[in-house]
Amino acid sequence: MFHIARHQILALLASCLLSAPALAQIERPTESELDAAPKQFQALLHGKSKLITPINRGPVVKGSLPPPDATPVVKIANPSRDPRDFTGYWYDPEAPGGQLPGGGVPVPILDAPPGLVRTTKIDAERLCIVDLGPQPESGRIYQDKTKLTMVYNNQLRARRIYFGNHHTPNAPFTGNGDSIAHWEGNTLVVDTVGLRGFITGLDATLEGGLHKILVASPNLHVVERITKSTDGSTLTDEATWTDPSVRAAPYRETTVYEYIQDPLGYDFECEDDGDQFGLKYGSANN
Amino acid sequence: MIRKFLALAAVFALGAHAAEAAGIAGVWVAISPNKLLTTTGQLPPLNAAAAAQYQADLAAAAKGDYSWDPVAICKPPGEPRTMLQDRMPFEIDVSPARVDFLFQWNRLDRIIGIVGKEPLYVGPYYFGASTAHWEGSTLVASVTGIKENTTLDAAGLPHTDSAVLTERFHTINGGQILEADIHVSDPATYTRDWDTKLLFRRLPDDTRIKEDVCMERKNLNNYATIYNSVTK
Repeated sequence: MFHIARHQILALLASCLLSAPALAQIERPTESELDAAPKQFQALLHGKSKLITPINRGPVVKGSLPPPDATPVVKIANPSRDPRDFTGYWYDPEAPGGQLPGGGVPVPILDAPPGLVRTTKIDAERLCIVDLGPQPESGRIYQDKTKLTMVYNNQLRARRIYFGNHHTPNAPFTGNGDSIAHWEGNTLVVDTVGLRGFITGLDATLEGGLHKILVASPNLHVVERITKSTDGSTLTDEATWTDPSVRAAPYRETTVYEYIQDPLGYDFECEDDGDQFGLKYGSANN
Repeated sequence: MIRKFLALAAVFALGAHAAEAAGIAGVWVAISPNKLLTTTGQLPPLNAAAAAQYQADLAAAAKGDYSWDPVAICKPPGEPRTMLQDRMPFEIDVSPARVDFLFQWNRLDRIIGIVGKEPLYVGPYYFGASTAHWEGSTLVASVTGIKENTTLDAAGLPHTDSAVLTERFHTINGGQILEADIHVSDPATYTRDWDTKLLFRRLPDDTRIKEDVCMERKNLNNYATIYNSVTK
């Protein structure tokens, strides 16, 4: 039987009784303030985690972390030949450190029905939200009996895939969606629904300073078939994106990841990037 | 009846054994409150200047003024506060190269590299720079370079970026409780070193960790307004 000190018990009870603290008045960024951000921030097109123009993070300190798009690549042998063991660090050689320019995946915006293209002055990345996924990206996979956890190099997300046959009822629509998986032989079949596509969208382009975003419908459905090579050196992900409201034919993409030495990660905070460009997220000091 | 009881006891024991074997890996939620006390139940020994600032921040918070707290505008809470923040669950994943603390809170990720005696990177960073090693099933992490615009807890316990935390993570109670023993050394803020203990309860491995975006949750990024405005 473990022991909890009395003061900890009392503190726990006290904290339960207190209501959640009210927020002070927070100054929110207006649309014009976000639009007024310097050009190098406006160059962050939707889907690009690899920056066109590097953000100035201040003086480079010896021993400081590498920029987010510099993933050291050291190929090593996968210690596991178990075809159902996907653990390890997997590298997408076509998208080092992040996504392909332009978002990588989905339905090209030119194929979209006009009514589903939303135009806005604001780039979603400035809002520090989770991109519409799943999309090809390097990262580490952890695995246990109940799920896979994918920790992407781009630290705007960790994606979880739960083993099972039923999606979470009434799950909210999110950037990562609701993913479940089962094995077909040694192929992991992942089924994802509940993807929120009205913010970041399936595809985007920048025209005349305006972001045109192809909005995914709530019926967007992604099926992935993931297989590990017999020597454990590669992981192949065949993804099929289906959204009949947007495009009659499914969109297919295959990504082959390579097993590499874990390059560890970096401390990337989207909210700090906004601060560096004068985005007013409140009065507290940075 | 006795056989049913013995069967239930066996199932429980097997589950506990499995939990213990998992070590610190798993999904956890805080038992301890987000206000640190020493292991003797006292307020940490702040020096005079730090105590004055702490009391001023507490007084402001009592009036609903959190302008002193960067977490109010979705800055990362830092270490160890993030583990306690809003009692949101977090997942610990272990590999030979690193340990990840994956938080529901604003989908933050603390990566602890199991590397040599010096941290790979200097900082300052929100979670600091850690060196870590295993002592049996106990993860021992030394953390330096924690950004000064974080506080050790939600009450506003301050620190400088010269603070050194030594953390020992291990499980007790058949693997059902995660215990974090933390030694704090920050002579610029405290009159002496001090220790605290944080407790966390294990949740089922398939606990759904929600996709939390602080800026959305607090509507600080105005996305609802902005993205509902179609300009063409």
